[in-house]
Amino acid sequence: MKLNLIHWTLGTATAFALAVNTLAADDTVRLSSKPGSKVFMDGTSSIHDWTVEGAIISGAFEVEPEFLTDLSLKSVKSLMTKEANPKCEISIPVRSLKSGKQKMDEIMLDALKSSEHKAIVFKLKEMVVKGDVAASGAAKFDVKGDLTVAGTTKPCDMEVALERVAGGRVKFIGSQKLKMTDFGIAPPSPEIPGMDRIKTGDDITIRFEWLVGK
Amino acid sequence: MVNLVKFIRTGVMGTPLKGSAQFHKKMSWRIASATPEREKVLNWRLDNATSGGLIAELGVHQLDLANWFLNGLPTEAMGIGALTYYKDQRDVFDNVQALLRYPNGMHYSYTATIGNSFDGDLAMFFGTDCAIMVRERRAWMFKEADAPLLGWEVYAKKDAFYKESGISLRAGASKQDAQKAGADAEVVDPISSLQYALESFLINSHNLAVGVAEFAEAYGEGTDDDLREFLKEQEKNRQPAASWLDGYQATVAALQANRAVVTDQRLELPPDLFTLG
Repeated sequence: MKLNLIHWTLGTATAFALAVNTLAADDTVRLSSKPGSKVFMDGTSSIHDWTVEGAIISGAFEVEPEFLTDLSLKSVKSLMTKEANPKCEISIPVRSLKSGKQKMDEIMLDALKSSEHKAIVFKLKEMVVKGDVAASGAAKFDVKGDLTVAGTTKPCDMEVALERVAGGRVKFIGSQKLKMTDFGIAPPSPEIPGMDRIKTGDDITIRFEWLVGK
Repeated sequence: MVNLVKFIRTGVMGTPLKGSAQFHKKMSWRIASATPEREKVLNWRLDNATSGGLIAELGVHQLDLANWFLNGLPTEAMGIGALTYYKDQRDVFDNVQALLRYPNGMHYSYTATIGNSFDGDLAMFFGTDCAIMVRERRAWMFKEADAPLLGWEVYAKKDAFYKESGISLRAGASKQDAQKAGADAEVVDPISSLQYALESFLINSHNLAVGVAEFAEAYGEGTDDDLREFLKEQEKNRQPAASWLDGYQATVAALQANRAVVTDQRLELPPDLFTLG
């Protein structure tokens, strides 16, 4: 009897915990990626700074339907507290990142081990409003998640801004400083004919503008 | 050639003035065959009804280069020609020269003969600061005495051309070890223009296919306008390669130059001649 009570209690507690941290699918609206999304990766080298950019961000943002109607977000529990969180996973195909120079693209794909790991992936774990939400619906969030680059996953905490755009769409804007070596990537050091060996800097910044909508 | 165009686009030539190209090779251009009927078909190049003449059949590549280097399209064509040597019932001229006017005061002359081989084929581009010579897969720069110093020409390898000294335009030629005894002075790019073109075509085709597939996977059906906008953005990542429009424009320029030579007329070449649709 006592054992059954313990099992019942544990089971109930677990179910309760799961219920408050995961939004039920039928309680959410799914906002999927839309064209117009952009991602940039900025870096340095011994000869010049560089930027690669892409226009493909695949994924979806699942949140309570009130997110679309309540600009203040006060009724969107998953964004106001840590008790529940939206569901979000995005994927950036590494082949979509372009520098404008074929040789540099080849070096980058090799460094990112693109033959085995075809995408940079971010999985959201927590997203909470930070500060006040503007009357226009513009807001900032403290975001925590896991970032996977070249097969290595690291925690990634960043501030993400939200803008409401036309057509019921939403734009998430953010950036994050990273080190290549944190993801097991040795900064490339290619040799180009007619030039000294190039040394790439370890520090990079990923910037994104992710457009989502129904 | 792509690197040479990039070099020219830096403004190293100063104000562009003119260009010229020649094709000299002694050959009959006639293909022998067992029957008169088959020979007529095989030798379509010797008949004005089916041939673009030396200018179009041999010079279209040089004219494509001219459009690219001079960064424009010709506005006028004129020329002269004659059947001087191969009197074998052909009517296509064996000795021609065309002159094309380009915007901003530039002009371009193309001369071709199949009666003499001296000096082979070459292209020249002249500007107020230097002239650039292109032969096969090599190029040289001949600087004017009052041209601004670039800084690296002191260390560059130079080749003598009669009374002129040409700076060899090739990667690595400025390094000290290129000057050492034993350095191969005759190294040319082992990759031909055709191979570069095929590589660019394959890379561009692959990137286009991958881009469209990734767009569809990320954004679903989307709209045609969205896809069009995406592909337009991707054009800046395209490998240098002549597009269908480049080919069309070079062909139009070549055929009009030939028409000017054959009819002995000065022809206006309006911009809409070089567009389709």
